[in-house]
Amino acid sequence: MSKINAHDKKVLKKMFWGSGLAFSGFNVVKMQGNGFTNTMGPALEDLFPDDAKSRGEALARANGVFNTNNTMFGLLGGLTYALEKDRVKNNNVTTDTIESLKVSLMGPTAAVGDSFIFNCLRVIIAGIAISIAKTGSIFGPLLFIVLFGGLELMIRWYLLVAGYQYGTTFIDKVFNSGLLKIITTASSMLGLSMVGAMVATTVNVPLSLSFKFGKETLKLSSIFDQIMPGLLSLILLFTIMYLMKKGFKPMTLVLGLLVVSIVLAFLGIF
Amino acid sequence: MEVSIALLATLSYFIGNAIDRCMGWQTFERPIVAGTLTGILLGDLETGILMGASLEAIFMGMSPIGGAIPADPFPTAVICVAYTIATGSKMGVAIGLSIPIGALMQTVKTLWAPVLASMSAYWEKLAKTGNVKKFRRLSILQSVFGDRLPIFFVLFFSIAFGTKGLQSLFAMLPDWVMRGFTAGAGMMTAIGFAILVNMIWDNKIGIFLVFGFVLAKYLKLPALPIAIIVATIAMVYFLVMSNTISDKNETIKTKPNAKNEDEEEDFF
Repeated sequence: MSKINAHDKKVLKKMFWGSGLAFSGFNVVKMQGNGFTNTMGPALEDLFPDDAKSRGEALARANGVFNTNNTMFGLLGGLTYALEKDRVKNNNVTTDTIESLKVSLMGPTAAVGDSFIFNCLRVIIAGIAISIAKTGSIFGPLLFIVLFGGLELMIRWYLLVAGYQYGTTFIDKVFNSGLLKIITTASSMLGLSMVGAMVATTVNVPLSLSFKFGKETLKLSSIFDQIMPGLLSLILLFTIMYLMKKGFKPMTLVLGLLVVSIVLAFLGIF
Repeated sequence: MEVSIALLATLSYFIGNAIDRCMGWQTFERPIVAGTLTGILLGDLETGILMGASLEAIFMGMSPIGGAIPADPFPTAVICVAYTIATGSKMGVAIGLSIPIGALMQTVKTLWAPVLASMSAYWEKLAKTGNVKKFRRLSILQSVFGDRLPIFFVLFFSIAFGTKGLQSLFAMLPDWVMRGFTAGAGMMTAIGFAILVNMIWDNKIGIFLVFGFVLAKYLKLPALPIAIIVATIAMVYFLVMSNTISDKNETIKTKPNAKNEDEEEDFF
C-alpha cells in the first residue's frame, strides 16, 4: 500500500468533511449526487487548481446519480480520488472506467453498509442507550451520540483513507498486467446488474385500472405481470434512456413524468 | 396549543436536522436524541428522555435501507414529546398518535419530492462551473433550510393547531393528486438510473441489466446476494480473460526457446 503524505492527508480531511453533506439536496433523480460532489470537490481542487473547465467537467461527473451508505462515501471517495489522480498524472484511466467502477460499487457497498450500520451497529448501541435513558439519565442519549455518531464518523474516515491507498495499489497492479479493459467490462457487468436490481425495487409504474366482465374483474397490471413482473418498469427505463439519447434533458423528463402521472391518476389509470 | 411551544419544537427539529445533515451521521434525527433535545427546549428534560427512549425502541426496526421508510421517526418524536409536555397527557396517548403522524410527514415529503427533483438540473450546472466552494456553501444552505422546508411548516402548524385540522386539510386534497404525486415519484427514479446506464452501457453486456432486474424481481433477492452472484460471474470472466492474456504472453516468450532446443537436438 502506498504511504500517504501530509499533503494528501489534508485533501482527504477536506473530503471527509465534504462527505458530511451526503444528503444535501437529496432527490429521486440524482439521489446523493450532491453529497458525492461535495466529497470529490476538495480532491478535484487539488488535481485541477487552475483549470476550472476540467475541474468543472470532473465535478459534474461526480454529481451523477449516487446512492450508498454514508460511511461508504469514504471508500468510494478515496478510490475515485486515487483513480482521478492517476487519470490526470499518468493518463492511464479513462472516465468510463472511473464511472463504471463507481456505479458497480454503489450497490454492494450500500447493502453492506446499510445492513452493518443500521441493522447491526445502531441496534446494539440504541439498545444500550435506551436502557440507560429509561432510568431518566441524559447519559443515554449522550452515549448514543458519542458511540453511534462517533463510530459512523470513524468508519467513514478509515474507509476514505483505505479507498485512497487501495486505489493507487489497484491502479499499479492493473496497468502492469494490461487488464484494464477486462476490469472495465467486469465492473460494467456488475454495475448494470446492480442498476437492474435497483430499478426492480424502486421504479414503480402503479397501474390500477381494472375492467369488469360480469362477475370477473381483470386488473390491467396483472396482464403485464403475467408476461413478466415489473415489465413496465423496464420499458419505462428503456424509454427514458432512448429519450435522453434523443436529446431530452432530465429536467424536462422530470416535469413531463409528473404531469403524465397526475393526469393518468385523474383518469383513474394510476 | 401555544404557539411558543410549537416554535420551540420546530426549532428543536431545525437544529437536529441541521446538525445531522451537515455531519452526515444519524444521531440527532433519531428519536432518542430528538426527544431529549425537544425536552430540553420545552423545559421538561425527563419526559423528553423517557419518550425519546420509548420511540427509539418503536422505530428500531424501521431503517432506510435503499431509501424508503414508512413513517419518519424524527418529526414524529418531536411532535410526540411536544404534545405530551404541552397537554400533560400520558405518554402512551402521544405514542399511539405517533405512527399516523409519521405517515403524514411522509406524505409531505412525497409532495415536496418533485420540487427537489426539479432542482437537480441546477446543481448539475453549478457543478460544471467547477466552483467547489460555492457548491459546498449552497449545499449547506440546502441541507439546513431547503431539504425539509415544508416539514418545518407542517410541524409548526400541527403542534400549534392540532393535527386534526391538518389531516382534514390533506383529506380535502382529491385522491388522484396524491396518487399522481406518488406515481410520479416512483417513476422519476427511472430518470436517474437511465443517466447511469447510458454512461456504462455496452451492447454486448446489456443483458446484465435484465439479469439484475430478474434476480431482484423474480427471485426477490436483496442487493447483497445479487452483488455476490454477479461478482462471481464477473470474476469468472475476469479469470478466463486474464488467463488468455497471460497465455498469449507465454507463447511469445517460449517461441525463441523452442528454436534453441532444436539446435541442441541436431547437435546430437
